[in-house]
Amino acid sequence: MRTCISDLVGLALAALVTACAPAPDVARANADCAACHTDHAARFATSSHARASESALFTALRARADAPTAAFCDRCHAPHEAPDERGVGCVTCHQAAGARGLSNGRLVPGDPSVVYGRGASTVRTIAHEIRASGFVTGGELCGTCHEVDGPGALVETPFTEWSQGPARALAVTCIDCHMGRSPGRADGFETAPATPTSPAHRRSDHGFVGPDHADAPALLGQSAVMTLDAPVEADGALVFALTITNRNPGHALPSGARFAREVWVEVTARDATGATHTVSGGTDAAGAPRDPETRIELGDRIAYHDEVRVPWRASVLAVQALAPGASRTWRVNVPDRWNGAPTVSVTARLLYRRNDARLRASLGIPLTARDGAPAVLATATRDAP
Amino acid sequence: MRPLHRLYALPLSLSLLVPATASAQSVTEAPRVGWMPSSRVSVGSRLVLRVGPYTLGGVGGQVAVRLGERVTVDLFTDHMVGTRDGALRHDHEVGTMLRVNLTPGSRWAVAPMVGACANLAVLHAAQSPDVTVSDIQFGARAGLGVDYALPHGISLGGEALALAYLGHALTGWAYRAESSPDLSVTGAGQVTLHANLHF
Repeated sequence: MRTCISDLVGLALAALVTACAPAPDVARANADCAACHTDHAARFATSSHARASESALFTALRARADAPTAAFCDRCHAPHEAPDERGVGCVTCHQAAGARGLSNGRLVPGDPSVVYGRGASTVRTIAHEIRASGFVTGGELCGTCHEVDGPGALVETPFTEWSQGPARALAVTCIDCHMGRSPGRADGFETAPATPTSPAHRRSDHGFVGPDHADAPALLGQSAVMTLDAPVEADGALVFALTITNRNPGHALPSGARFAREVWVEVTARDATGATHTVSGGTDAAGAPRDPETRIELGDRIAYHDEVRVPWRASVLAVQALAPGASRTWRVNVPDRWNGAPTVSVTARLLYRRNDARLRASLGIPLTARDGAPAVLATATRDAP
Repeated sequence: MRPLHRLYALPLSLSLLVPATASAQSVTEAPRVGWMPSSRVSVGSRLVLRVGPYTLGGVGGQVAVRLGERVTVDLFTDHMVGTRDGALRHDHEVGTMLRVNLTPGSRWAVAPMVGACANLAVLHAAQSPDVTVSDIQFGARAGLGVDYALPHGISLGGEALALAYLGHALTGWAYRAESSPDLSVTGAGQVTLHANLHF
C-alpha cells in the first residue's frame, strides 16, 4: 500500500515537473545569429517580425489590454522574456520544437543548444547543431501565430485560408511565397552562402514579405483583379457590374489581422466637362470614409462595444474577405449626368490600408506617410455608352 | 521524456517487488487456499491492455481488502504506454473497484465489479518528444472479474472492463500535441491479468 502511494506520488511529481517546466532560456540571442548570418539579419530587420512588439498599432492596443489579454498578445508579438530580445527573433522560429496547437502562439521551445531548420538530417557546424525539422519548414510553425481565434474580433485565419485553399493542394508552402525570390510567387529561391565562410545553398528571404511589409502593395496588387462591365442604363443611372477576383491561391483578400485592414473600392465618374465626381468610397482629410455604410468593402464588418476600437471588445458582424481564388460582383449605380453634363467614363480603384484609418484615429495613432495615402491594388475604367 | 522514465523506474520496480517480497516471508507457513476467512488482504501485480483512442499496454499493482464474505474493495494503480502515428502516450492511473463474489467458498471467484479512477494522460508529439500535453481524466468502469485460488495463498485472475472517461481529448501529430479545449467522454475497453498474494 505504502509502495503504491509512493509510486503515485512519484509519478504525479514527475508528470507535474514535465508539464509545468518553464520554457528554457533563450540560449542564443538574435545578435549572436547576426554575427555570422549578416545577410539574413539585414533582411530580417526589414520584416514585420522584427517590429512585432514595436509597431504603432500593437503598442497602442497592448497599452489598453488587461494582463491576461496582454499575455495573450505577447505569445506571438513578444515571445521572449529577455529584455534585449524584442519582438520575434531568430530563435523564436529556429528553436521551436513544435506546438500545442495551430493557433494563438502555442509554440513549444525546444533544445536551446540546437538550431532547428531545413535539411534532411542533423548537421553539426562549427557554431551549432542544425536539426532538420519539418515543423520549421512546413506551414505549421507559421500557423502557430498566424491563426488567432479570439477573443472578440481578434480573429486571424491565414493558416486556415492556406490549408483549405488551392495553394496547399499545389504543395505551395508559406516559405515558397513569403521567403522565395519573388514575393507572393512560388518560383524558387536565391542561392547564396548562409555565412561568409560557408558554401552557397538555397537562400530563404528573411524579409517575410506580407501584408504589413513595405512591399505589401506590390504583393497584394498581383493578387487582386478588378473589372467593370459595360453599363446598363436604368432610371437616369448607369449600372455597372464591378467584379473583384482574388487570384491568390493561399490567402483571402484581405488576410492577416483583418480587424485592422481597410480594403475598399473608390468609384469616380468623369463628366463631359472633364470634372471628376466621387460616386462611392471617398474619404475625408483624416482618411475616414464619407459613406462607410454603402461603399464596397472587403474588411471585416465589426461592431465595437467601446468608443475606443479594441478588437477583443468587439464582435465580427460579417466577414467580407474574398477567399483564395474567389470572385464577387457588385452593382454600382452612377448618375448619367452631373449638373447636365453626361458621364463619359467611370473608374474604380481597389484601395488598401494595412491599418484602418478609423481604428488608428480611435487609438490616437497618427497617419504616417506610408499609411496616409492608401495603396492602389487594382484599377478598372469603363466608358459610358 | 528521458528524466520522466528514470523517475518512473523506481516506483514501478517497487510496486512489482512487493508481492515477491511478501511471498518470501510466507513460505514457512502451511499451504493455504484462497478465500479463507483469515485472508482479508491481498497484494498483487497486474498486466493491463487497454483499447480506446490509443491502444495502451502496461503494468500495475493492486491491494484488495475483503470486507465480507462476498464484497471486496480493490485499490489499484496502472501505468501504460502506447503509440499512435508515432505519438507516444503514457497513462498513469489510480482507482478503486468494488467487486461482489458470486461464488463464495469456491476456488473460483466470479465477481461483477464497478469502480472509479483518476488518470493522468501524457502525450508526446511523434517527431518532437519535448512537445507534450497532459490531462487528468476521471473515469468510471464496470466489468467482470474471475480469480482462481492456488496453494500458498496465491491467486491468479483476470478482468474485462468497460471504461468511460471525462476529460480533454489528447491528439498527437509529428510536431504537435494538442489537448482539446472541450470536455468530452471517451470510452475504452480493458483486459487485466493479475497475480495476488493473500495475507
